[in-house]
Amino acid sequence: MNDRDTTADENVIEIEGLSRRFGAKCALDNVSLEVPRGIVFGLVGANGAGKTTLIRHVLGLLKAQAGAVRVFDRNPVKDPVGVLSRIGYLSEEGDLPGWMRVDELIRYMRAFYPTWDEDYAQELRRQFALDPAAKVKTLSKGQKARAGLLVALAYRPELLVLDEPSSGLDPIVRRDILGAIVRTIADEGRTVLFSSHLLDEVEQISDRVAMLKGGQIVFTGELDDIKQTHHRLAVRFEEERTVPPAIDNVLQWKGQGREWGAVACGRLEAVTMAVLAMGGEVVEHKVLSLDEIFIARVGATAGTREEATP
Amino acid sequence: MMISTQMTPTQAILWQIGWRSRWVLLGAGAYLLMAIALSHLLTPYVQAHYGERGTLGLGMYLGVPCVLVIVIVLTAFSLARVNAGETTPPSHMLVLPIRTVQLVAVPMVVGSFVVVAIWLAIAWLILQPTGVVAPVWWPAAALVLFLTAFQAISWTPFAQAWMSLVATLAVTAGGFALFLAAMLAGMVDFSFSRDSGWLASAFLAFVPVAYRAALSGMAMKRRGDAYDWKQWDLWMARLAAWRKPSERPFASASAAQVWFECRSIGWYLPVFVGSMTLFMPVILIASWNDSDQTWKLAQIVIGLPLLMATVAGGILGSVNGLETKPPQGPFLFTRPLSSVALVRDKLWMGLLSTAATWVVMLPLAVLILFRPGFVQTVREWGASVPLWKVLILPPVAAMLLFTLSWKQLVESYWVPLTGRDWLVGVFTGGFVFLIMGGVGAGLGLAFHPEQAAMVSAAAVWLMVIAVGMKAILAVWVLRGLDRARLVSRGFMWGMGGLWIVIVAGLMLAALNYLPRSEVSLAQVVLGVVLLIPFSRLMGTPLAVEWNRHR
Repeated sequence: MNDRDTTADENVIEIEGLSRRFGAKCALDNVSLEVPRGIVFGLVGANGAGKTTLIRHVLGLLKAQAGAVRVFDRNPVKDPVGVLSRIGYLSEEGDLPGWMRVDELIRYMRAFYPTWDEDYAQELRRQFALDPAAKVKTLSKGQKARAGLLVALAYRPELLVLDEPSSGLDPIVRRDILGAIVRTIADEGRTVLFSSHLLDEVEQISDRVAMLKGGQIVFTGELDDIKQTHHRLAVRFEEERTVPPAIDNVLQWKGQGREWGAVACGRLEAVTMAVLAMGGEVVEHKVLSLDEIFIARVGATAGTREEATP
Repeated sequence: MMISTQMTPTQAILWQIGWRSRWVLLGAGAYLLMAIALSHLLTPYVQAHYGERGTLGLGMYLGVPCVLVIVIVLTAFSLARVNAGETTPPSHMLVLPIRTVQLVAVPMVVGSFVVVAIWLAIAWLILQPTGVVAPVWWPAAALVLFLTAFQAISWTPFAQAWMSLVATLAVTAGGFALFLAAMLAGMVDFSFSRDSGWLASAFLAFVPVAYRAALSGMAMKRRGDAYDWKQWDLWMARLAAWRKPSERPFASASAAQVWFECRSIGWYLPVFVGSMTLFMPVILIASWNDSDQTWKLAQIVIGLPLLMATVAGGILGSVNGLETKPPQGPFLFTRPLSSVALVRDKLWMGLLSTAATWVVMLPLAVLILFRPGFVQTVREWGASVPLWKVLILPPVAAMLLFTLSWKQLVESYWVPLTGRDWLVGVFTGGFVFLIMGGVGAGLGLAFHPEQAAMVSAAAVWLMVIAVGMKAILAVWVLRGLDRARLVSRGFMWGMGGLWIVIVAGLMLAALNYLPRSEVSLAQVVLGVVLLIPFSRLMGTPLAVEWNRHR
C-alpha cells in the first residue's frame, strides 16, 4: 500500500503508554495520544510538563523506554527516513547551523525533499523579509524562527511539528507563524502538532488540545468540547460556610461565607444539581477561556480544592 | 555542594573558577604531585643505574606533560567556556554587583600566583632533582604575561570573532620576539638553560598593559559593547553580494550532505595543518645549504598530516562540527537521512579533507625536492634499484600515505559520533595514556636494552590479546548492525571480504619488505590485523544510532 494513500480519518500519530525517565525524573508517564489527520493539535502545559520530550519521541530523537510511538504507522526510531521525509519541524532552540547563509540553507534543504516547492520557498523568503546573503548566525531570534519555518514548510510536509514556535518572539513574528499554520491547514489533509504555553495562541488555532502536567496527560479532546465542559460558576449558599462542599467535578473553589466561585468540569446540569443538593444555588455561569481551564487544571491537582480565602 | 557561610565576592569568584574546572584542576594537581614524588623517588635509582643520561630522560618524561597542566590552569583562570552555550566569562558573572576592577584583578592576580607557583614546582621539584637545568624567573614572568594577555583577549568582546585569534597570534609573536631579542643580546640561549632577570623584567613590563586591556575589555563586555571593525563588515557584505550562490540544486541528498560536512568541519584539517607549516618555508630557505635538515624536514612534511589526521578525527567526527551554540546534531538528526548515509557522507568529507591537506603540503614538498642533495640522493637510489621499482614505488608510496592518513582520520569518527562526552573523555585519556605508556616503555627499553627480547615476546602476547578482543568486538558490531537492519548482510560480507584482502595484501608486502631479522612473522601478522580497522568503521553507524535515538 502506498503510504500516502491514506484515508482522511486515520491517525497520523499514535502514542500508547509512552513513558520516559531522565535519571530520577519522570518526564513522561504512561502517555497515550492520537492525532488524527488534517487537524491542528495543540500540546499545552507548563515548562517541564513533558511537551518537548513528547515531540522528540515523535521525531525519533528519543527512544521509547516503555510504550509505543507510531507516526504515519511507522516507528520513527526504526524508520527515521520514512518518517522524517514527511515531517516539517521547527524547534524551540532554532538549531539551524549558524555558518550557513539563508540561500545556502534553502539549497541544502531542497536536496532532501522531492516535494520541495522552490517557488513557495522563495515566496516565503520574500514574505518573511529574509536576506538570502545573510548568515544564519547574524539573524535575530525572530528571523531565525522565520528561516526555520520557511524550510519546514517549503516541501509541504504532511505533518508539521512546531515545538514552542512563538516562545520569546514578538507579536509580528507570532502572527507570521500563526498565519503560516493557518495556511498549512488550509491545504487539505495536512496535520499540525504544536506545543505552546501561550494559551491564547492555542485557543485561536487548535482543533484539539492535550494538556500535560508532570509528564501525564491531564485531559485531551476537541477544543470546543473542552470549553463546553468547563464552567465558571458563582454559587450562593443558604448558610455561611467556612469550607467549600465536596462536589464531584468541581476543580476549584474560591470564596467565603455564602458567596463562592467554582470552576467545574462535566455536564453543567449535573454540577447544578449537586450544588442544589448541598444547599446552594448557581447564580451565574460563564464559559472559561483555555487559559482559565489550564490554571484550574494544572494550577491545582484535579480533585483537590482550594481552601476558603479569608 | 552546600555553602554554609557567606562568601566574600573575591572568595565567590575564586570558588567559581575552581568549581567550574574542578575535575581538570584536580587531575592536573594529582599529576603534579605524582611527578614530584616520582622525580624524588626515582632519580637516585636511575642515577645509580644509568647515570646522568637516565635522569635527564626521566626529567623530560615527567616535565613535558606539565605543559598541559599549565594550559589547564591558564584556561581555568581565564574563565573560558566549559559548557556549550556559555560565554567567556559566563554571562552571570558580568552582572554581579561588584566593580569591574575586582572582576578582573581577582582571577588575574591569583592566577598569576598560581602559574608562578606551578612553574617553580616544575622547575625546582620536578626538573632540578633529575638534573635538568631549567631557567626559573624568565619563564615564570612569561607565563604571567601570557596568562594576563590571554585573559585580556578572552574577556574583550570582538564583533569579528577572528580578531581574538589575530590578537592571540600577535601576543604570542610578540613574546617570541622578546625572547629572540634576548637571545641575540646573549642573555639566554636556545637550550633553555640560562636564566635572565632582564628578560623576566621585560615580560613583566607588559603585564600592566594586559591588565589595562583586560579592564577595558571587561567593562565593554559588561555594558554590551564590542570592538567592531565596521569596514570589515562592509567588505564582507560586498563580497557576499558579489558571491552569487549556486542556482543549481544539489544532484542528490548525499551531494548536499558532503557539501554540508565540508563547509561545516571538513576545512579544519587542511587549515590547521597549513597554519602549522606557515613558518616552515622560512626555515627551509634559511637553512638552504644544510643538507642534514632536508631529511628531517621531509619527515615532518610526511609525518605532520598523519599525526594531525589522527588527532583531528575526534573533531571532524562530531555531528556538531565546531558549532556548539546551538549544536548541529538535532538539525542533522531531523533530516531524512539514514545513519548509514550520514556516516558515508562523513567518510567522503574525510577523503576530501585529507586530499586538501596533502595539497596544502605540496609547496613544502616541492621546496624540499629542490634542496641541495635531494635530487642527487634520489638519483643514487634510482640507480641502485630496478627500473620497475623506480616507476612503481613512488606512486604506490604516495597512495599508501594518502590512504593511511585518511584511515587515521576516519577510524576515530565513531567516538564523537556517539555524542557522549564521557566516552570522548575516556578515549582521549586512553589515547594520552597509550602515548605516555609507549614513551615510558621506549625509555625503559633504552635504559634496559637487555630486556628487549622479553619485551618483544610480551608485545606479541599483548597483540594476541588485542586481536582476540578485536574479533569479539567485530562479532558484536556485526550482530548489532544485523539486528538494527542498518546494512544488508551482503554489505557486511563484502566489507569483511575487503578487509581480508587489504590485510592479506599488506601482510605480503610487509613480509616482503620488512627485515625479518628485526620483526617476526607473528608480529607482522598481528600488527597488520590490528592496524586495519574493521569494527571502528563498521560500528560507526551504530554510534550514530546511539546518539540519534537516545
